[in-house]
Amino acid sequence: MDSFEAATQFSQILRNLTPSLQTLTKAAHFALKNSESEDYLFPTIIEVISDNSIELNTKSNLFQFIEVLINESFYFSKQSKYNHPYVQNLKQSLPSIILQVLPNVNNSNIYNVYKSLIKISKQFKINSKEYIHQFNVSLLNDDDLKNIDDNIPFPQIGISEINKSLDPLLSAWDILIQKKRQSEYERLRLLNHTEFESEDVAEDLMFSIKEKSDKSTTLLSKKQILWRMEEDRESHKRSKEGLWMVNRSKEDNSVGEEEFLNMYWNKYDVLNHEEDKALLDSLGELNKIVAASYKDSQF
Amino acid sequence: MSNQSRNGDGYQRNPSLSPQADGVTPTGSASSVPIANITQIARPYFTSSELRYLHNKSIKESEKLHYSRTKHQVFQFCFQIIKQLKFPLRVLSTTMNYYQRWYLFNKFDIEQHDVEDKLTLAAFEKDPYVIATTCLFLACKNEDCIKKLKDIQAVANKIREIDESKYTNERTTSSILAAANAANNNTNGSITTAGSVNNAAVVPSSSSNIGSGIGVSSGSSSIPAPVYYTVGELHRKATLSLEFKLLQIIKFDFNNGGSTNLKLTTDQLLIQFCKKININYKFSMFCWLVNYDLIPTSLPLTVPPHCIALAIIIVTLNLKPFDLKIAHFKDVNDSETEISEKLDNIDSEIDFKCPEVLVNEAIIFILDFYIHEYSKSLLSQYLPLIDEKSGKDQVFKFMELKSKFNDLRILTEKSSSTQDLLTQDHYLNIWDYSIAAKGSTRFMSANKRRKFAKEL
Repeated sequence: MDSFEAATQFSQILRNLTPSLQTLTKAAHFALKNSESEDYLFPTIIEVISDNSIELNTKSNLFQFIEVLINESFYFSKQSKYNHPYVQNLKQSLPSIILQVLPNVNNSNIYNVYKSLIKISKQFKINSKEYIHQFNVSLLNDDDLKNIDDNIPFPQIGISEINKSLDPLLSAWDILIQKKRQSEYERLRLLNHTEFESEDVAEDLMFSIKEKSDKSTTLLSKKQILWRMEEDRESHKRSKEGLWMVNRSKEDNSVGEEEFLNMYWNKYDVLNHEEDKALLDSLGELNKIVAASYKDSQF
Repeated sequence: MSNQSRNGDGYQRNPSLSPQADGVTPTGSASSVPIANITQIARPYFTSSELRYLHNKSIKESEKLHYSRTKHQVFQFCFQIIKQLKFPLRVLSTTMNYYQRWYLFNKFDIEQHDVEDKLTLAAFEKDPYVIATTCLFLACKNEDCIKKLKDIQAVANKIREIDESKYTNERTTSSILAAANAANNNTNGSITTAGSVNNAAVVPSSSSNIGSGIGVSSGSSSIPAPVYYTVGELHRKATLSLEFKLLQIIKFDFNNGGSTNLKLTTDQLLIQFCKKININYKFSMFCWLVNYDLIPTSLPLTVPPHCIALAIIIVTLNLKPFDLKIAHFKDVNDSETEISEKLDNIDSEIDFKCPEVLVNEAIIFILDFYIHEYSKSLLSQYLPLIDEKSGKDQVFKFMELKSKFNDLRILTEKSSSTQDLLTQDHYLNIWDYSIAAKGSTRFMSANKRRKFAKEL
């Protein structure tokens, strides 16, 4: 297949992505099998993701596709035939891609991007711990709070925000954190400056559902929202399937210290007062079952 | 036939224990044939004399050694599986709990467990490794780490170097499978009965009424179709049948000795307790190693997880293993006074809801275990041969501690103190699966017992 043909086909594949791992992997394998045409295929990715007629759900899928592609590229490169195709190009463009997936004020894809970015950082062996922490705490400072009080919209986050001197992956994280701050800010502004409604609110208004005639792609129609909920539920379920996995070294015939360190010592924290009380209560319940199991009265 | 026996604790008012004490209660007035009717209450914990009594019934005296050796091999085998499938340790704990529970109520029958010799369903169902795989299959479901049986079986048989595609001596009873086999053979053309263990067993084309149904032409039926299970198929069949039996053995108690609200296993409770009383990394690691060593022992059948966890911590704080060989946080050590303080401040009943007598039972068990099995333990690999402080073998530390703890109050065993009392308890019999198959068996957990008292 010549490069042009591959690019056309690839564009079709990307436009019809679903978040199932199977489709994402299939698309990634298509890209890798035609990796000699990277010069044509990579711009296709960028072109599709920047296309204004592409709806938000698909953009979320595209970002998940990028994660899978990076992952597969690393995997394929274990063979000498491949030398990490797409990886550098994608990494370079990550900040601008994120801005496409999280356009303007609509940040509905933020959580999926966050999840994927964690995985991508792992591939590049970049420590994302600090960013993960930031993402999960409140980011608003005093100035923000004051601006919210004054009902000033959050400044636009654009290409200019990208710090060119920084590693693109770190810069991508910065953008994401900015976006997180933006959604937090806008939510609080909405809460503080919108009139309290005591009447029933129409569904479309409540969820800012796109009207049929509206051609803009920053809002979602009801069908799209339901569709997206279903898809996110699926991918959430899938992500949980592997949560329990423990990697152990091949040579060991029994458990090793690393398992204790990672799966126990670093994973468990002191319970707070309520959690501790709940634990003790259920232990008390357990004692009743235990007492009933022995024939003699033991305690 | 048996009935649940809770003599002496006020449960004997149960009507089904009355006249038909052997558990055969006629139910339904229309039928004059008595139907076996039995209620079984889950007993997650047994005293050690009950365990001994059960083992005497299920394992011949001459095979006791073989049993414990097999148990150890099975433990290694299961660890290999959980390593390859990346299961967390709690799956291993539950598996070993199930496996040991199985042999309390089923005979340990080693005579025909050699798969290579006797490839039959009956032999498969007696094979400790097939039983272990079943335990692991049920355990991973109960621990929320679902894997397909196919995957578990593939890993298990690969470790045992068993060829799943080989034919067994077990005839398929299902005509569908035979038909599938036949169809398969005809389409592939390459599979003949050469691989079959017994060439005599083929579907005679004349007597087969399935051939036409699946479109096998008479011309191609000259290739004989084997009607034998492959090892893989038979293993699967055995596992599924064993799983149902295992469920009866655990009395359908999916809490596995815990309560519905508490899904924490010993290892998780252990680290939680360690964090609670601020045990440092080194000692926590020591605790964790002890816990691993205890997984294949009978302690989890005697004492609940939280009491085991606390007992491990108490033993550790008493032993003060400063010389544990670890790679991280090597130099973080508490002073002797800090350790004694932590030890003194432990209030097992209030802070941990651990009945003292159960903690004591576990402490003595742990010390006994290391006195006898130290050299084989995982812990021994993390400690220097000779204890630095005393200049003696590590085992002496355990012995010394045991002598200190000699007068601890442990579980009372009045109700199982004599052979006579034990024999009276029909709960402690080899489990008869035919009751559930022919009559009705009802399983319930102990704390739900009173709720249904009227119905019984």
